[in-house]
Amino acid sequence: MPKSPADLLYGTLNLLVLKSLSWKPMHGYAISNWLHERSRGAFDVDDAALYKALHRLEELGAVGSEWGLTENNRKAKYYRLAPAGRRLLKDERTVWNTYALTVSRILKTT
Amino acid sequence: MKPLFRLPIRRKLHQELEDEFAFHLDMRVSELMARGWTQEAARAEARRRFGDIDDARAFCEKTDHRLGKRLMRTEFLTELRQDIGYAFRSLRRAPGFTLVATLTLALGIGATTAIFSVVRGIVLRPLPYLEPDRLALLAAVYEGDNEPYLSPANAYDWRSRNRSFSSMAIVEGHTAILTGAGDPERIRGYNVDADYFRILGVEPIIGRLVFTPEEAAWQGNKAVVLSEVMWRTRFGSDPTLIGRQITLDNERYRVVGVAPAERGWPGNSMVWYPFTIDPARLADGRGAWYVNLIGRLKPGVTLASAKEDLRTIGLQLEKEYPDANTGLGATAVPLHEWITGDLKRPLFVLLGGVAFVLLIACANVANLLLVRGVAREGELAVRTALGAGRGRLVRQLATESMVLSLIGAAGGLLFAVLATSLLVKAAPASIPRLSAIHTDGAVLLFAFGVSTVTGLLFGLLPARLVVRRDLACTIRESGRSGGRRAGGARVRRLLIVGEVALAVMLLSGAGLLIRSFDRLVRVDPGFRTEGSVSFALSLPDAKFPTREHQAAFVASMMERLRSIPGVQAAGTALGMPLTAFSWNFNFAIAGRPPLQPSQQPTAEIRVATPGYFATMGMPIVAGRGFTEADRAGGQKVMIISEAAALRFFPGENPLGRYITSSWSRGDATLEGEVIGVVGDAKQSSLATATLPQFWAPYDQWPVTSFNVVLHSARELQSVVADARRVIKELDSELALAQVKTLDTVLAESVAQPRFYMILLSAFAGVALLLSAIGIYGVIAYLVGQRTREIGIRVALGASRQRVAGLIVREGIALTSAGLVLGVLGALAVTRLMGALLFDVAPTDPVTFVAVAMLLAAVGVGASFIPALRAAQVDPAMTMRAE
Repeated sequence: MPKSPADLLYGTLNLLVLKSLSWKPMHGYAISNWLHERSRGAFDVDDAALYKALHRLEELGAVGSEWGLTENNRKAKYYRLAPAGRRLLKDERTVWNTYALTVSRILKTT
Repeated sequence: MKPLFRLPIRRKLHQELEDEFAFHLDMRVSELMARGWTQEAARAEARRRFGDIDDARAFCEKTDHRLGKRLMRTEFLTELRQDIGYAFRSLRRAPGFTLVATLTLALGIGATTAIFSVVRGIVLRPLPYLEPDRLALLAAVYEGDNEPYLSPANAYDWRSRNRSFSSMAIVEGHTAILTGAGDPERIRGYNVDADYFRILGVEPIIGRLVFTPEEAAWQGNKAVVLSEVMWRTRFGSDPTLIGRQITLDNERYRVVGVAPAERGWPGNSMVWYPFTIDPARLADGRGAWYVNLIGRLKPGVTLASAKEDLRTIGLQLEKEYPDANTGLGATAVPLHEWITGDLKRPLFVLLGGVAFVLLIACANVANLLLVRGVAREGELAVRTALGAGRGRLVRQLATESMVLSLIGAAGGLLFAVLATSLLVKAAPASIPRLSAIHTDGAVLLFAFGVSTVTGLLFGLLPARLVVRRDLACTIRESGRSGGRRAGGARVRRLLIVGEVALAVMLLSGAGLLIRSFDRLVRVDPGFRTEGSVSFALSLPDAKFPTREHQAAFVASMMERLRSIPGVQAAGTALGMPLTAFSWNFNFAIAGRPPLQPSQQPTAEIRVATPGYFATMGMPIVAGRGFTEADRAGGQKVMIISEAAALRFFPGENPLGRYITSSWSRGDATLEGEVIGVVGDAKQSSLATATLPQFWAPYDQWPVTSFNVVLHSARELQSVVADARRVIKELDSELALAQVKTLDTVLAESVAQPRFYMILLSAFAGVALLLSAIGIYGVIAYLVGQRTREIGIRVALGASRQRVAGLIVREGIALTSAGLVLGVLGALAVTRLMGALLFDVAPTDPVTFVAVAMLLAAVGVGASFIPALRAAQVDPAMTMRAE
């Protein structure tokens, strides 16, 4: 059983990364900050785990990447959602919602 | 998949990953420092928050590498697809070029593949037996040569004493007459030991192939195994034939099995009988060699150790039976080598020759590609300008060559299949294993391999040359046509020189074979061939059991044959000239000191009826020929050949000398007074020296298998028809076999050298034609390149002859360089042909001079047309064109 939201997060990191990219292409650092802010600091994701997830998603074809310039004119690797990633996001979200709903319903009846 | 690109890609991916992580850490550090952290603390915090960076690096590198590889593969395939499409489009745009190039390639690849399928079928393909490389032919060693015939007594001793072979089986030739199933037919058969087919590892189609002990015993139950061919053609593939009886040589034999076609050995065999021998006569026949012996090596025993084993046995037997075995060794030869050994050299010479043709074809296509490459420089320059790398361009051009070569291969394969079946039909029947020649997987693989190598060979060089040129420079000068391209021209000249050199080598080889064949057919065979026909006949022992029966039959047959209208002469003999027939006996000459049997002189022994020598046109040079007076009961006589007189009676008169031998049959012994000397007739072939021969009169030494020769001014087919009728009247169950005119016999004896000569000459002809085309193409190209220079020369007053001479000289220079190289190469290579040549040295000056003159003429001829065109150059036009 997961003890903290962070542990639970580990399995759903892919889902969150895809979600972050559904807004706009972002580099890894920006995704890391986005996750931190959106979870209001609750999920302090390991950057190493984040990059592993990104590269794995890239290998699967769910995200693409290209090198671009930041506002401060620094070269950075930008990730964007590929069509396959968009489909994956939709599917994973459904699964997650069903899962969360089921878990919370069970918790309520107890 | 592409090791060449692997390293840089891996390094690039690694660098990108480092950059990505560094960016992240830098950003985090700046953010923390903006919030008031010290740089040092900020760095530590950034690293802490990052977590296990080494683990992430290792993981990401792995995924990136997999992804990179996959992307490269897709990219490669996409580009390949593009290149192939592009190749097809650009080939379609140049139909003339495509046609000439693919035809040239199809010819080269097709001819090479056809010869390869012959070589594969005959030489390379293993024999169709179980573990064929464990099979060997056991041979005697006599006077330094391997002698395949053994006496049964020796064969049995080798079999029982050796420790190297798991089993051995005797094989002995046996012709028989099949009756009672349609017309009587003389068929080839073999007597074999009971487990013969078990040694070969051949399974029956029906029945069994192994004889029972009762069948294999002396005077046991008569049984035969039929060949599939015989079973299908004479017995309609009847499965109920097993256990039934058929009539061979007037005796009833039970059919026990059918052996599959192509797997029986020897290949021409129709029936196999058990080999049996009268045990009482085994011992005294040690000096008579007439059986073959094959064996299967025990597992783990090498041929070398088996040979050693046999050598020891040979020495033992020599000591034990000095009379018969002195000087007789024992050895083993791989069965495959024994069957195909003589063919290896000529076939590999042909394969080499056809490979030369292919190389010449490659050179021509490379030349075409170079010319085309120059025409396409503009197009390639534009592609480079649009971002195509050099490697990419080379790859694209190479793809084009491969496509060209594969189209050529497809055409070539078609050509090869046709050519192979033609070759098999045209090949002399004396070549073994012709039926094993098929266009099989190995042949297809070979054709594919050859075309790939070919494509690379003729494609890569021009591609690299074309791309190497400074492409920017090309664009700049593409408007002009006068710029001389020294590099391409040099390569082109070199290609031509090489091509001519190869053609010279091929022509020399073919020339030597032609000269050799010419010498061969001029050899006097020693007998008259025109207007003569011969056929073989055998008398079944069961019906003609005694010598009297046989002699009486032959006498009455000869009488009737002579009375056929138009027959001028008729004779019968054992052992026709120019056949592989060889029967040797050792003898003594009365009045000379006696020798041990194994020390006695040996000679070929043959049998003839009166009138045979006259029929054959073999002259009696001393004494007299056989007459009707030389009868069984009368004075025993012999005739010897000139070679025998020279060898055994040098400076003496052989007439009146008495010959004795230990050969006997019943109460008859082989002996007689020399009453005549007959001219030599060639025996096994025109090329081999004539061996001494002794002749006995048929009536004194009758045989059951013999040849009849008829000489007539009439049409020979109708003479044969009459002879057939006459013999049928005498005995309706006799069958004429091997009906051939003596002209055919002579032609068949030189069929193999003729076959090799014709093939190699055909290759040489194609090589010559291709070289002529090549020389023409290059000279024409050079003329095109030099149009401006020629225009200037003409403007400055050079005569047209001078200009034409200039161009022809260029052609002669190329041809001469090729000639010199080719002659040197030929001198090195034709030595390998020594064994194929008769009475011609591999360095025969006549051949080489003729080849040189022929090539010089072709060189001049091929450069003549472009030279004429150069002479017509209009100076005003060329100047204006600039």
